[in-house]
Amino acid sequence: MDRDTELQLVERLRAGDSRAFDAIYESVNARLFTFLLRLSRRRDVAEDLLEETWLRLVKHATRLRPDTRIAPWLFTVARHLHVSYVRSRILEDSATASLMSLWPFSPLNSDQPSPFEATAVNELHRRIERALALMPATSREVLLLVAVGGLDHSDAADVCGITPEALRQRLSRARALLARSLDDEAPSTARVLSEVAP
Amino acid sequence: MTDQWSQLLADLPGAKPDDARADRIRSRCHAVLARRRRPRLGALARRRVWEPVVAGLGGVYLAAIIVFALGLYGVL
Repeated sequence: MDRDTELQLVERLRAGDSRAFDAIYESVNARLFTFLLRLSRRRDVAEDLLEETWLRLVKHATRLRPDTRIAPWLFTVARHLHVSYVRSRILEDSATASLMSLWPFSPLNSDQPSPFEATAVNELHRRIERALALMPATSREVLLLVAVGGLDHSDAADVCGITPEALRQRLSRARALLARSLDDEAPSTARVLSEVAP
Repeated sequence: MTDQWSQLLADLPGAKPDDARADRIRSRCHAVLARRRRPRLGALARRRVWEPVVAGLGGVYLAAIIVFALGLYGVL
């Protein structure tokens, strides 16, 4: 979506045009859902957060600035909702987790694959999904915003509420973490990488 | 190396919510937009009704003043 089209869609959305909403939805929804699913690792949670994100957009439609950049706006809301969800889960789970972890068959102790791991079509994708899933959330989110969400560094920095320089450093650390994680799991990853991306 | 990682991550398969959920999201959002449109149309309609009424009453009041003034000076 070019900038002129985006500005027109924002203007129409501010006026309550549902066709403008549909156009924005089609353009961003898949990226947004993939971002939320990889961040939360749970389909039901990702769908709930996705729905809430879109509802926030339409509820704030009349108050959007005419020059709003829709994709960064949506990713910012989605990220905030995920952070709020994680905080609420930490409070809820902290009491039960310590007890559950004592039970040897507890789901907390099992090595549950993420939804993407379960459906990965090849070994390399499965390894990357696994490495992403095990990565700290702050590292995972910057990788996802840039590589999967398609945001440029400046927009991704705005979404995370950090400076572009801080984002660049965080991104560099995340990539190093991903590479290390893949190498730890399979020393042959470098060979696989060279085959798929010479 | 950096570009390779970015490309690999970008090439990972995407996902979408199931169709029923997607329809629900869309219809809920359409409903919110429709609710927000309606008051604006209502306000516009109210303004369209009230503007001529106020203008008419103003005109009648002005005419009454003129008639009264003319009567005062014995013109009417």
